[in-house]
Amino acid sequence: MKGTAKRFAVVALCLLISGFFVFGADSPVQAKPKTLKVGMLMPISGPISVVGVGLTRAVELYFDKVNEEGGLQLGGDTYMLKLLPEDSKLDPTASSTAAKKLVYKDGCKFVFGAISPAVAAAIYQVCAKAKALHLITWIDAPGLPGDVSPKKPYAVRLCISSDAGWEPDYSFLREKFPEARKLFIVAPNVGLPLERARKLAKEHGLEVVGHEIWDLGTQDFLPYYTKALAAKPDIIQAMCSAQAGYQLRTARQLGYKGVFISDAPTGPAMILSLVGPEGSSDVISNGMDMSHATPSMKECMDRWKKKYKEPFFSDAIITWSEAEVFVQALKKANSVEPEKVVAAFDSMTAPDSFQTAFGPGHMGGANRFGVNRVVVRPMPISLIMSGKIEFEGFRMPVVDK
Amino acid sequence: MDVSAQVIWQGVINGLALGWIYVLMALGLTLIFGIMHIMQFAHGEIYMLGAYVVYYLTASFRLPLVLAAILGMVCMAAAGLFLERVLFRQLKGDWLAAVVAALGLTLILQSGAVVVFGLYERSIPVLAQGPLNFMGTVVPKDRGVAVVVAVILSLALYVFLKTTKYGQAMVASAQNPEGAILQGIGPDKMAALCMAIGCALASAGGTLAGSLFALSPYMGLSPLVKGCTIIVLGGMGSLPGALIAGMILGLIDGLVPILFGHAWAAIGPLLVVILVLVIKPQGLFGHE
Amino acid sequence: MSRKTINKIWGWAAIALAAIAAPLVLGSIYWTSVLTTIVINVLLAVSLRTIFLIGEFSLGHVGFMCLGAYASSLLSMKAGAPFGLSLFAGALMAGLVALGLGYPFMRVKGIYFVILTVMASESFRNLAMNWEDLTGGFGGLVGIPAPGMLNIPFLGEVDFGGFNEYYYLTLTVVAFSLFLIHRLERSRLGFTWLAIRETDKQAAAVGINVLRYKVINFSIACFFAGLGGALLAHSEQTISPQAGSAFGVMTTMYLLIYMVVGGKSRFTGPVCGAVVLSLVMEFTRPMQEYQPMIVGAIAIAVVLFFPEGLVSIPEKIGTWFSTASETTAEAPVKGSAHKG
Repeated sequence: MKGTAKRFAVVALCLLISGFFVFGADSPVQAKPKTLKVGMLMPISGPISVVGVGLTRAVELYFDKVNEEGGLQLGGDTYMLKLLPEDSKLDPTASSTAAKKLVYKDGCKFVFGAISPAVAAAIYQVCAKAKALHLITWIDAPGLPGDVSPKKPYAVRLCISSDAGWEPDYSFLREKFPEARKLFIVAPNVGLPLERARKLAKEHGLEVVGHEIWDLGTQDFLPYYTKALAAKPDIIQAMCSAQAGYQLRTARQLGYKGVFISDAPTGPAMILSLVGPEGSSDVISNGMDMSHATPSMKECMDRWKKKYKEPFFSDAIITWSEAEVFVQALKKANSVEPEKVVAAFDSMTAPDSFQTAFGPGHMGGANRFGVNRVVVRPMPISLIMSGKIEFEGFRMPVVDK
Repeated sequence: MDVSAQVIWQGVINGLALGWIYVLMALGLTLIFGIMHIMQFAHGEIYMLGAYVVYYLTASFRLPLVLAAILGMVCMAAAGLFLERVLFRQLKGDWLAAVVAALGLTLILQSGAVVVFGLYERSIPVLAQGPLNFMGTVVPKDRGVAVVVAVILSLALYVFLKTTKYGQAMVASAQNPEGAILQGIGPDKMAALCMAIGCALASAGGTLAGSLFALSPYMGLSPLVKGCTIIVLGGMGSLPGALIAGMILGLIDGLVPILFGHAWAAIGPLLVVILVLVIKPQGLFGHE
Repeated sequence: MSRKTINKIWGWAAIALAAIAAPLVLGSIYWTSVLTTIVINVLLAVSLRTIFLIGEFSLGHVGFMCLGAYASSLLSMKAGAPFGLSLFAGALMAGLVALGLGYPFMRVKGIYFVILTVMASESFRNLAMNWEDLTGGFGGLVGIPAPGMLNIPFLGEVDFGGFNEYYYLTLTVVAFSLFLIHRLERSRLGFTWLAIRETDKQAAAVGINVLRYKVINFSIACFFAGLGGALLAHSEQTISPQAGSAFGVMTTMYLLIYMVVGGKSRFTGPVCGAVVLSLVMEFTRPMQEYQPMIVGAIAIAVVLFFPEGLVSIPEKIGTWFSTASETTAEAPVKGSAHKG
């Protein structure tokens, strides 16, 4: 064959081979008990892949548990749960493609995800078009386009946003540190409602003396904390950051001696290990102290240790408990149809409607979001003093204000 | 802007401190480019691997930090020799191919690091604890130590290039490859040497950054871009250029966010580089 | 028409047929959207190669994609512009910015130019991230409208928002763009570019305003980059300026790899590279962590063993079997009247 013809043969051949793969890959497999495929979009690669992988594994572990106990009896059929994780790459465009694969190719009717609000919005676009239910697993800041709303019949949020913890945090702060008044906020650039923080702070007798916003991907917090300390605060609040440990370390290295609040779910043990005992005093954290884990959390930890070689990532209990709620909603709906499951969620608004690893919870949020589609469940609070973690207990967050 | 002089001064110090780490990257890049005429885009990954090697040496083998750092540099220098021999030597002359090869290498090393090292963030033991009072400003001590180490390494490089036979040959080779041959040192040896030195410097930079911040398989990309910016600004193949440009860039990084906010900080370096290149297309100290 | 031209036309016709039939054969919404992305990648890779014709290469292509994507999205979202207009306007915006930046950029050569393009693209991305009022900042834009209904003779009302329809729309736009670029390459303009690549100074000596031609080339290439970005934006209906996104440095690297792996000397090179590598990436989805490694390994392997790229493989096999005389006619592009 001549060169030009050869070239087209290469390209055509490639297309042909791909067709081959597709037909091969799509050959239907009949399983005996039915499978309920659930998709999950998390940043499996990239800078926060630890979080993405950890959260994905927790759901997988919970599904394992359900399957071991015989699966779910829904609408007369038995269903085994199967999790299909995909990489969101923290990029809405890539997530959109991945979501399309989950929904159209794999036939998922439920999709968990994601971490960034933009990705959540992208997932919702795909889900809505295909009438699949989008279960929001994390939201940095509420009310953004990725969040629930009356206009979005296919979105339910299974997580508490970190701002729901502000009110219990401020109350706790006033109890333990009555002298501290001046608050400085260091927050990531994700659209957190700082005005709400100011209002809440004022209600608790605190004065916000300034704030610094940093871009995601920042590793070097020195410039921000330099400016923070210039305002001479008594309290610094590091909002919504898994790097709270680094931030605290930076602050202490600059000579800051005041109180530090971390409202992210990062465990106090992680903060302690990063900062070391000298810097760890007067720290309030909304992460879970695993030495006081509830039985459900312990089960998550045990299963993790049996299945994975990496050390247990404590943020994972969040999605473990979300999977718990999801399964309870499925059972209540007694169906795998997304619309019926949403209706089930809508009906679970009374206190103690379902159990989570953190304690009993219910659906709420109508005041603020227009629909009761946000999970409300207890949040842990711990205090770190002189290098030791003191678990304070669980408090209910305020989601509706 | 009601920014006090104190904060500005702090910004200057912060920026310069970081700038020195990027200078280590830039020195390696400019050496490699000056002598091998290849843009080693995978240098960021060498930086990253150097940090991980040191992490493992300190965490698993419990070696003291200084010893581990030196071993890390040696290790990455050896890796550099390997890469030069196996990969870059074959691609001499075709610089586009070399760039693609470097990019491919970056992809492999980055994802390899994720697979091998796992995703958890780690940190190399701190260089020093606590704050330091420097000319009236508070600077974390570990940054001070990082700057001192970087300066020492740069000076060591300078001395090497000026006084030793190999060093002088490298400088000559950058200006005129045949000249180095006249000195009796072949271009392949030159390439190997500069690759080794460049990688050792990158490894040192990675170690410093790894102890100041966290280790991650993706930590090499941003310093690489900064390093490239520095050598463009300072002039390819020029070592004093790399130093001065590194300081300038460090200053920009430290001051602009404080004075003008982060939006400008993002475009600042580009504007400065465009300005300089329009006036002097070879960079501040470069030669055609 | 010579035998070669006839072969070429058959070749392209075959590819066109395959491209048109593909969604129907594969029959899945998901695969159609993958194909749409592949087609856009082809456009991006081919336009990247256009810059190579003047002997430079740009690592900042994604920056212009970003410009085109945002311009087109904002026009259709905020100003309600019809799809065709916003698409074109987005591409035009990218081209005009390239025109403006081209003058300072083209004065520097080789590696300096490359680094400038990288810095420029990162700056555009950061600008998009920080100019919140205009671009929605960090979260990017969601809900970019898909093209609406259009009345086409013979087909009636066609809703281009649907997956298959959008694919054909994209295919048409890209095919037309490829045709334009191909024609440009063979035109006098194209030969001037090649002359500039081969020898800068001699071209200037015969009175060619080197700088002007270089800038024109850069603008045209970036125009198509912007077009690709706009197509992508309306296809996925969401764009984001984050570092890991489609507009980050990684995508640039991948585009360059598509181009070189496919073959930088010929027009079909980037087409082949984009198609093959996009498919490889799609099939390696189950092994996400290893995906970059596989692509990187392919890149290095091709660069070491097949410097002319994948498109040269059939010929290499041909040289094994046939005699030398057949292959001398297939010399890579060198500024002479070669049809490849």
